[in-house]
Amino acid sequence: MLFNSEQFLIFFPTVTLLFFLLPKKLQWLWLLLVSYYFYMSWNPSYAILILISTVITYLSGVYLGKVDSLPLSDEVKKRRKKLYVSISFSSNLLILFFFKYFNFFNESFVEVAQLLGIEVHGSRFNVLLPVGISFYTFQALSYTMDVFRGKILPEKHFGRYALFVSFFPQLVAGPIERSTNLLPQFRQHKKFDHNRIREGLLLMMWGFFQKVVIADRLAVLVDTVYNDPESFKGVQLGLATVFFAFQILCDFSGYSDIAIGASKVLGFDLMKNFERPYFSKSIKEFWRRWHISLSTWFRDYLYFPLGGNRGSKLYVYRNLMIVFLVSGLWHGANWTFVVWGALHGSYLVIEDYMNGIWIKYRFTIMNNKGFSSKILKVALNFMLVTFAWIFFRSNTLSDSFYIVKNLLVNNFSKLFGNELYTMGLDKQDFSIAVISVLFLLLIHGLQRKTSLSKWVFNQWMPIRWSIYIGMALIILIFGYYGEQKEAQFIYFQF
Amino acid sequence: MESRKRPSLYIFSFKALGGCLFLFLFTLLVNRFGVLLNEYDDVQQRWEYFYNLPENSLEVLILGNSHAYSTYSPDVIDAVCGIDSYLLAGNSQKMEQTYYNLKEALKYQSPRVVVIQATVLSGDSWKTETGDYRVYSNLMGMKFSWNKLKAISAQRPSEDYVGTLFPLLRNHNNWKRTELIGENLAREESGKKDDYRGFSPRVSEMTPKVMRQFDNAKKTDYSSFELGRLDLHYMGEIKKLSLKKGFKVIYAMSPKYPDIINPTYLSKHKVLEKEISNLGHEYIDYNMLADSIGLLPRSFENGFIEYQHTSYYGAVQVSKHLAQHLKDKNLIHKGHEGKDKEWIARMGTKPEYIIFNESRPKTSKTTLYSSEVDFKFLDSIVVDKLDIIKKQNGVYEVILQFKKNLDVEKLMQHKFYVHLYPDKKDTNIRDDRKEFGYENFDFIPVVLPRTRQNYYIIREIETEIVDVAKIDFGLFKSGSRSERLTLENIKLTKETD
Repeated sequence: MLFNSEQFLIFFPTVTLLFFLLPKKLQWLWLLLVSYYFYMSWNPSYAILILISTVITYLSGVYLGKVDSLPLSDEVKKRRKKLYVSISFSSNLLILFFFKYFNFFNESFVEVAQLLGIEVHGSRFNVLLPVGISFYTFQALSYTMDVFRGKILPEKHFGRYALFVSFFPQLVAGPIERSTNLLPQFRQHKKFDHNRIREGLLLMMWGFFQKVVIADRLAVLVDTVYNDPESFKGVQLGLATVFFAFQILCDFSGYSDIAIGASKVLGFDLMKNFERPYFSKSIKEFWRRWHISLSTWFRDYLYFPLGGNRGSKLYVYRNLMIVFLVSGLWHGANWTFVVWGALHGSYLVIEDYMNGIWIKYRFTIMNNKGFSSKILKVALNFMLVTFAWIFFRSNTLSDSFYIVKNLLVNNFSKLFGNELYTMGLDKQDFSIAVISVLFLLLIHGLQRKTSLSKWVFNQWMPIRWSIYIGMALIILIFGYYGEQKEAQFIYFQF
Repeated sequence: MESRKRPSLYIFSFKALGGCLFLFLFTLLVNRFGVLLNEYDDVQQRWEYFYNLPENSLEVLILGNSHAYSTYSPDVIDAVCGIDSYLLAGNSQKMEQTYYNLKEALKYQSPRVVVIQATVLSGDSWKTETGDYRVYSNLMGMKFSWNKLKAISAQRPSEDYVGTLFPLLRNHNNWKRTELIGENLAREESGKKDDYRGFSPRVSEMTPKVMRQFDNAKKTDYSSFELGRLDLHYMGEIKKLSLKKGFKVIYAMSPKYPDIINPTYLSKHKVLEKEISNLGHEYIDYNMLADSIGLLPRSFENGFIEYQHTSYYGAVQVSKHLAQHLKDKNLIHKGHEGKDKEWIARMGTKPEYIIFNESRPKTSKTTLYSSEVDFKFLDSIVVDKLDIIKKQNGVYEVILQFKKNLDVEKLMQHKFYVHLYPDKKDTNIRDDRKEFGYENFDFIPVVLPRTRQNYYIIREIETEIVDVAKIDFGLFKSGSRSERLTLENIKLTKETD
């Protein structure tokens, strides 16, 4: 069940209404049932995988908790804890590997062997990638790690823990929640709170706007170009890439806002996942603002255990590269994602290295805090990020290389006249696409200094209602939906 | 003194009320935009006119699908019976929809007879992914009601309930079609319209394509025909309604060329007859009566628009028979019978197939042709004057004014033929028309109860032809034809004057 489907329009209000009518004792059970129903609407058999993951990590937590009360030496306790953590991690990652990466590594192995002249026949498993497996696996693993590190006591209530892993708003595409934040919230009695509901619904509406009006419309042009890149050149490839930069932002940030908003309506607070990332002035800052729940996950559970910032620069750079290569692979079983991760890792290494030089030799080309300097940095950063998106979006590496090679071909005339509308979007849809992206940037710009939701809530009721209704009507009328089935969210495939 | 705390329930209720009001406003706007962006069609029009009828004004209500709206003319029934009837039909309608249409209609009207076109009994349901447009179209005009919700749930998969209920969700892309929005606004602003009873007259057209359709008309094997479970269920529900509300139900099967010539059709007829009579309802099968009402297989040329639906010519024959049947069996009140001025006035607005017994009203429409003709069709049927006027672009009226002392009885034994021959210019006729000779506007006249001795008849002609080589008028009956009245070189203007 997609957020942008008609079923969800019935599902969510029904779930919410009954949730608030139920007594505290049953609220968690209701949410658990509907979360599994939500997940099973894709494929009922997927529920077994999420259940296995839940049981393993739940038991790991229970056993980790028991170790402390055993009459054993600290050394043995530590070893035993590590054993439980290893079992939890290896079994979960094994499932993830099998469903997501087996075919990829198998095919890659066969290709490499063939290049070396060795004849190998690889077998391929015809399994569909379970929706959101990377998200809930990482969320469940973070719990094991948090119990191991003593950040949280093991959850004894299996039902509540199962709900933590499967909570439907963020189940299939995050934000990847931490047990320390979400688990305790399931123990509280959630009461009907008008203000929370209002805030949540406004956020959901903004999410729908990003997804249905912007992302799905931009996707038409992006798909036309990226599914047949050799039919396009220069400015067409550039336009599709810039459109993709906004498509993926609006698609994923839209999903996150709907998830956070829906949780808020139900009385739960999820972590923020996006913070106007294209306004970043450096790649480092970009990763503090883009997919925050994943980047902090990698920071806490991979980068720090690898050593983090400790040690020599070389050692730190190695850690950075490892994290971003893994992050690339996390996004998808394709070399294009690995290259995308490697590019971002390299950006960060080079940025850090250059920063060191700039500080050391006190280079000051311009006033670093000036407006023009900021604009320049934002623009440069956007270009770098957008360039990396080429690899992220391309279907194959050879497509990526074709696009990079032909990106600077001079064919600006294609931007004018009717040729612009041969890439999937007609004149009206193209206009709406551009206007809505500009509107998004305007909103992001305004959000730097003020909370727009607070501004809306402070307005006189008729104005407030006009804003709500106007926005909802804009989504319903100008949304790109209906002709085909609802468009999937990009991050569902991860 | 400690002030009393206001109960939290009060605040909650106030906010809940606000929320409800907000939802109401929002739904209203969504609905409004849904209508503005929707392509208005004849099914919606039938609902709109139905809701505008005076309450409990109908004697006969006709329900069904396209076969119903092409076959049963409420105007002819009303002219014969002197009553008010209405046809509430949609495209490819199935029994589920027909049942809920009836329930909805009974909230506003209390007819004595409900005629249900039997082709809705197909045994198939539209609760499939296909056929969406037709289900949407059937539901679009119905007001928001419990019946509408039930009709949706009976016909659409659950994931499409919201989309069916709110047309904006499926029509939102029409925001690009400014002309459509303009048309919808203009129609709303134009206010109320002519008397419309739901009938869609269709002109016979013998194009090569239609000829091939007749030649290749599929003969379905009905030897093992059975009614579907859903059909039987809804027939039973209609039976309950008829008992509760006290109306008579007639299932009528409109004639269909392939069925008339199909030797296995008798099996289907028998099954329907048995099931319908088991419920105590009446069944009239015009495939079986085709002979007696003059719709012979060889007459398909002017009895059917294509091999499935009846043409205007066939429709009038069937409607006359149905009307006479209602009258003969005393299923209706005596009706207006020329006493009710409003009814006479209403019938006076009807073109074609009705011979008016009043002096022809003066109109402000453009007269394209007017002539004293004094032409004798038969000895006692003399045309005094012939006018051609323009109603709107592509729609004209031919008016024949008869001499006093018209032999009505003799006239009624005949049918009119009106053949329009185009001048063969490339700009005048479509490619697919080049091979055929004329457009056929044959009709059977119906006479309103007489009060005076002045008679005239109007035949509406809807055509794309501009340059007419000639128009032939005449009377015919089996085996004989009258003299022919011919008008030559008529120029029909394309633009509104």
